[in-house]
This record gives sequence, structure tokens and C-alpha cells, in this order.
Amino acid sequence: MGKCYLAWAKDPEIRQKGGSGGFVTATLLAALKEGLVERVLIVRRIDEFEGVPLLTDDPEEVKSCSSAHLAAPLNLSSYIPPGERVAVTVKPCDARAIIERSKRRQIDLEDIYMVGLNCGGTFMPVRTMEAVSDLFGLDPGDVLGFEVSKGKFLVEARSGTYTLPMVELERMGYGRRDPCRYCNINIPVMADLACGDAGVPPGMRATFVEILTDKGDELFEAGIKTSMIEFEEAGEEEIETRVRTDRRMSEDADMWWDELSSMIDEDDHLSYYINELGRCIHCGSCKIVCPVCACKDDAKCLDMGREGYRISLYNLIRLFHLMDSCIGCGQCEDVCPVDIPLTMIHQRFERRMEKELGYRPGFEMSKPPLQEPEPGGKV
Amino acid sequence: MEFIQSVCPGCCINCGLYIVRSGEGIKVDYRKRSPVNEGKLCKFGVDLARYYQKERPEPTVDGKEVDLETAIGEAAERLKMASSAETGFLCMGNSTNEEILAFKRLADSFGIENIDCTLSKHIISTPEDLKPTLSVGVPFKSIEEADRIILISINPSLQYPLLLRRVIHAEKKGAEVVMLNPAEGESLELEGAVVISEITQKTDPMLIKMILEAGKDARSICFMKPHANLTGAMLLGFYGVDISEKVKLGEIRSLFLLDPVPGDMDDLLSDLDLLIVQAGMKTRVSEVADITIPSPRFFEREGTVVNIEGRVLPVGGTSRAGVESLLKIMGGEMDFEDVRRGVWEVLGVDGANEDLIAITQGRR
Repeated sequence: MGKCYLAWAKDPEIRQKGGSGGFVTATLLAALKEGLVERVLIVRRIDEFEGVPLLTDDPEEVKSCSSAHLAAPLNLSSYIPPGERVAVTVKPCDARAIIERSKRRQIDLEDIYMVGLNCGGTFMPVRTMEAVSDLFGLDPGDVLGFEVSKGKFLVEARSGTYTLPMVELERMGYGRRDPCRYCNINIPVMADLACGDAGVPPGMRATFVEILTDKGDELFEAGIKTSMIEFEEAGEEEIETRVRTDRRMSEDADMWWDELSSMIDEDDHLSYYINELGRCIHCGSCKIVCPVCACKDDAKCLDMGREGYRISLYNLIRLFHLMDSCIGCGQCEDVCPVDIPLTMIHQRFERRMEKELGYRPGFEMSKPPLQEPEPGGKV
Repeated sequence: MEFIQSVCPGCCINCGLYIVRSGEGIKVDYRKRSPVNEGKLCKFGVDLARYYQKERPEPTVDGKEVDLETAIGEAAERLKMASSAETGFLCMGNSTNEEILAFKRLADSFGIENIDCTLSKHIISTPEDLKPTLSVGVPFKSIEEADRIILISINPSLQYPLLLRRVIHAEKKGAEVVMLNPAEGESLELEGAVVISEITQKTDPMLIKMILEAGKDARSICFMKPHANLTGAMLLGFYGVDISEKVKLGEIRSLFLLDPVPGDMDDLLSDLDLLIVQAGMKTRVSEVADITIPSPRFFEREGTVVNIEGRVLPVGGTSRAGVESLLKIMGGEMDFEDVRRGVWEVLGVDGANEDLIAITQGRR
């Protein structure tokens, strides 16, 4: 574990407005001010249910984006401009994608400062609008904000605050995206900093920050040097609370994985793959949004999306390419026009490979094992 | 990176998407907030940036490049000289509601009754009480909740993948899904079903008649359409005569085309006395026009479309140039805001709202 602090923005306005005491906003501003980075890549809020990537060097724009956006399920790694020093706010799947893209020479990890955000999952916007409308009778336009806190879905609307346990919400088919439910990586330990609520004493407007790399040190130092942040060391109790929260969330994710996986008949999983992948219309969207696909327009799979096979070679090649590289970000599943549970399918292969070979994509810079077969080895 | 919220012009579903403008040009990105498609796109939508990269036409008169005002002035002069009985206005349904209404007002101002959105022959042969069924379709949610879906002479996996998705959802919930082809002698028993078919210029009018007659006991009928805003064009009343047929018969000698796509009368266009084209991209048709008036690319236009579900969707752009050119030909007495108010009035809405099914078959 890296050095752990409770930290917050020194500016009272940023501390009040920003999520968890505005530490992330203050750190991004400090990185710009100190010249660590040329621009920052963050999510610009359009409304409670829509956000888009924003690449900016304007401090005012950074301040205006100072809270988490759960209903903007983006993978920011795809928006990083090559050859530029940028700071990016990253969920664990963004951070893993950045590392995998760097391995594939799409971007240079050295140029990127990853400000990690602990993540309990993101929501599909339309389904979430349906949830607030169906369950609370609210007009989504009247929603001022929503969050997940201590296992509860909390909606703040003009007419008041509404709440429902997440378990109930998700049993009714609303809630987080499926890949987020079974993602068991909540703390972005592969980023430069990991920032979140877990471990922060109740009532304190602060962020629990773990410094994970030298670049994380640089970011934290920039905040101190520019007087943008204030901090105190995290105590044992706070650290333990964070560890417990992380463990509980991971267990919850594993339960979802077991439950969703159990819908597939293990004695006849080929039928499942044929039925699901057989719907593919070969639009290519899953490949376009896949952050670990580096083949672009010259991809071998693109030549293989022809009619006539129950599972096209396009899908088989992608299965092969991703079985040691899928980071489970869920982007492919989000955009599939015929709702193939692609992330579940790729993860079923990847998790097996992970168990077999002890390699987890997106955690460090070593090459995927299928690209480095050992003579006489397992692959 | 500038993210423009827009809609796909590929068909009547009008999927939501982003057009992303950056130093590298134009890209398409997935807009998961769109209630129409939740960020999902078919192959056309995925490749839309390529479509938008097609060359835009220059303003021309008799094959020579001129400035826009000259082209507009010349269009006005030649329309004045043309016989209104032998002049036709054809909108292919690839324009905004505002452009279509301005086009209609322009036709009215010249006393031209020959107007068509390519589907007039189907609309005029349909009894008045069934006409609304031809225009707006049904909310996709109601397709997902159907017990029985009958697809007649339509294959959504090829033509409308984002409709297919809703049919799959219904099927997973237990709906019976049947594909019928009456042309092969299959009988139509549509009671209680959500019926989905397609209406195009080439659809056999007998098929539409059969569906409407057999569909009286259906839960609902939805006619998909191949162009972006044919629904809006029909609701705005842009129909009257089958212009394609009249051109073939030589009864139309002057023709004004709004946002044309290649069609089966293209070979006849060069024989016309006058061909005016207003378009956002260069095509074979704009190349042979006597007068060409450029308009912005679809996503750059300020205005709205009506999707097949009955949502009034903003196209996303800020350019009024297409509408303004049409109004200038008319003499400049109306402005964009007048047209916009006219659209709201005809559609019976207060404005665009992607989250609202504003127009239903029952309401019209």
C-alpha cells in the first residue's frame, strides 16, 4: 500500500462544490499551474444523465466539472491525444485501458498522469432515467443529482430526496451496468493516485488519497507547492475502513459474477455463444470502442464479418485477441445494437486465462502472455 | 473536441449520436443518453463521418459557379416563368421539418400544387381516417411490451437494426414474432399484434392497402421509412401527386428537388426544362441541375425531425442557411422564426423534446 492521506481543496468554494472536498479538482488545477501537464482530460457535465469528455487547460472549465458523473459511462483512455502530457481522471477500467493502450503504442504512459477515482460502478443514462421515473414517479428533468452511498441509491430532486437500497434497485433490473456489477476492482491501484470516499470519517469533506507512484507524488507535491490542497495523514482506523469497504465491494461483485454466469449452462456454453454472437450485425462498434484494440482499420477481424457462419470469424478473432487483454470496461456491450453481452463473453475467457496464467491485463506494463508464448510453456 | 448532439439521417429511427469536431476532422461518437437508441448505432451510423465527408455542391447556374445570392435570385426568376401546372416540388424526406415547411410555403407562393415526399401515391390512395397510421409509427417501448409482433415484408436485421433490438427484447420477454410475406401468398391475420412493415416509393400500394384493411384489429401498425424525416414530411402535409410518375409521363417540365438521393427517375432529369436542386452534398442529380443551391450538411442544420416513434428531435446544428435560401426565393417576407412557429403549430407541439413521444397515431 502507498502513502495514505485525507486531503481536500484549500479553496473553500472548490472544497464545498467538489466531490469529497474537491481534492481532485484542486490537484488537476495544481498540475496545470505547475506545468506538469499541458491539459487535463475530464468529464463535462451536460446534465445529470449526460456527460462528454473535455480536454482543457482552462482552470474555470476544470472547476465547473468538479463532481463525479455516474451516468456518463465513458472510457476516457480513447480520448487521450498522443504526444501530449495530460492528467486524466480515471476509473479503474480507464486506468487499465491506458496501460494496455500504452503497451500497444497508442499512447505513452510516461506522458499521462492518472488521477484515479475509486469506482463502485457507472449507470446507463436512459435506464437510470427510467428508474427515477418508474420507482419514484419523478420527471428526470427535475433530478438535481444522484449518488450511491453506503449501499443506497440516493436521488436528490426538486421535490425532495428519494432513496432505495441498491440491492432492491438492481433486483428490479435497474442500477449499474452489468459489467460494473461484476467488476471487482474498485480502487484504481494501477493509477498514480487513488482517490475516494471510503475511509473518510463521517461529516468530513475530504478525500482518502493513496499515492501509488512517483508521478502520484509529483501530483500531490504540486498541490502542496501551489497551496491548492491541505491534508493530514490517514490513521489506521481510516485505512482499515477503506480496506473493509473495498473487500465488501469486491465480494459483492464476485456474487454478481457468479449469479450472472450461472445463467449460462456450463454443459452447453457453446449454444450460448452461438445464440448470442449469432445476432451480430457486424457494425464494428464493439471494436471501435474497445480501448485495448489497436488494429484500427487494418484489423484482420474486419475482413471476416461475413454472412454464413453462426459465429463469424470477426467475433472469433476478437475473442482470441481479447482473451488475455479484456479489461471488462463494458464499452462493447454498451454500444452493441443487438445487445450481445460481449463483456460477459470476453470476461469468461479472460478470467479463465487470468487464473491459468496469473496475468491481469491493465495492471502493469508486461506483455499479454498470448503475445509472448514460452517454449514448452502452457500457451 | 467539440461534441455536437445530433441524430442519424440514415432512416426514420433517427438514432442519437455525437458528431465530434476536432483538429482531425469529424468523427461519430456514441450518445448513450439518447432515449431512441441508448448509444447504439447500426453500420450506417458508425460510418456516418464518411457520409458527411462527401463534397458539398457549389452554387451554380447553368453549370457555372456563381455566388449564392445569384443562384437564389435566378431560381426565383425561373420559377416565376415556369408554368405552375407543369412544375413540381419534390422533397425526399432528408430535410428538417423547418426546411420542408419552408419548401411547402414556397410551393404555395408560386401556386404549385404538385408536391411530393416520394410517398404521395400511397397517401392519397389511403382513406382519410387511416392516413395517420402511414405517417407516425409506435413508441419502441410498446414494441418491447407486445405479445405478438408481425413483420410484413421487412427484415429489420438488414434494414433497421435498431428496431430489431426492440423486437429481440420483446421476444426475450416471451412475445411471438412472425415474419410474413403476403407476396408469397401468406395470409394476414393481425388481430392483437403489433404490425411492422415498411413504406417506400417502390412499395406495392396493394400491400399497404392489405395491411391497413387486415390491420383494423391489430394493436398497432408501424410503417418504417427509409429516409430521415419522411414522417415529418407526411405530418407537414408535403404530399399531393406522384411526381416521379408525372416526370415519366412528361407532365412535369420544371422540378425543384430538396435534398435528393439517387432514384429511378434520375435519367429523366436532364430532359426537364428546369431542374433546381438544393442539397447538402454533391450527387449525380446536383451535377445535372440548371440551378444548384448548397445547404449545410445535415448535422449543421438548425431544426428538427420527427422520428418514427413520434419524438420531435433537434438535429443539433446552428445553421439556418437551408431554410433562409428557400425563404429568399419566396421573397424574404418570412424568417426562420416564422417557419419554426409554423412547424410547432402544424405538429401541435411546444418545441423539440427528445424525451417525449409528442405525436401519436391517436392524436392526429
